[in-house]
Amino acid sequence: MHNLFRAFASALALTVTVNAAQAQSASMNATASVITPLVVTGLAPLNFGVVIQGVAKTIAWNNAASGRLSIAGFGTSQLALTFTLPATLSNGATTMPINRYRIRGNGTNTTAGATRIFLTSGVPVNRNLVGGNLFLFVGGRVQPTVTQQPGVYTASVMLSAAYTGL
Amino acid sequence: MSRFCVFARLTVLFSAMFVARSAAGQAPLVVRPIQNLSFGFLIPGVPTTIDALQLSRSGQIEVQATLGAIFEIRYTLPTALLNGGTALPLVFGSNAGGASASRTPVDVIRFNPNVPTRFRYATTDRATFFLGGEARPGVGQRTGAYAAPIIVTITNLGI
Repeated sequence: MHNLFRAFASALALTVTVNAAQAQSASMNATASVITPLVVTGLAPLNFGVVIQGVAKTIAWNNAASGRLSIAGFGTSQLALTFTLPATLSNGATTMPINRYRIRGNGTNTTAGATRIFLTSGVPVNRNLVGGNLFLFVGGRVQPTVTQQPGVYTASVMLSAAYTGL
Repeated sequence: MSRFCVFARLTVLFSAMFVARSAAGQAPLVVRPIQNLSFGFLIPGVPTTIDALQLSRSGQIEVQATLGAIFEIRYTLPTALLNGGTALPLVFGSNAGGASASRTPVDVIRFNPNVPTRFRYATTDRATFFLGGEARPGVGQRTGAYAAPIIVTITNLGI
């Protein structure tokens, strides 16, 4: 501790006795890009319509009844998309399995030219906006049992999107 | 007065980490810019803070000097990033500076980049100086790329 103090005192002496101190400068930049917030909109539900007990029904991603979502953001920024895909539809306490999701994305609200997005529910996957937009088309399959209780079954498909910074 | 207090504290910390040695002669300072302070994408109305030790984004320079050298580091900090005539306010907190001989958080010494700060190289001849900050885009901030220069002046005070 004594030595440390001595070093400090010595340094102070140098500070007041040095006449022509050597100085160098360097520069760097601070940078940022201000971008528009993301807006995620559900455009249409994935609608299986009427299903028959014991008969599985598939709605393709490019079917008119497919689910559709849009994302509006900045330019061609990369997004991390996280889908939470339900495993069942519900009618009160009664459930009906839903699976085989197929999701495609496109820069315009048309299925032509849309490319497949391989994903796992709850796991982020990266995708770029195209001209500030990304449209997502969601297909899937329901599997009513032979004794499936008649009624209306629903579930929510959740999508969260965030800029990755790229 | 506060400047000397900072100096005393930093001297103690450096000496605690690196056993002090004597050195003779004085070599020139070498200052190397390493990377810009990059805030990345900002959303209007959402402040973003980059910590000095956020290695992929903090501003960084390396200062090489003689063992035992004492020098002063002085940042000329902008108060805003600019995009043409549009400003985006910047704030540099009292903890936004960091110095490390190893370029890791292990031996980092925090300092206030808003005031000149003195360092002594007790057992190393180079260290990296990190700079973080906070960008505060307004709710109606115009989109686009913003930038501002940061000048770092190192004054060699001898050994």
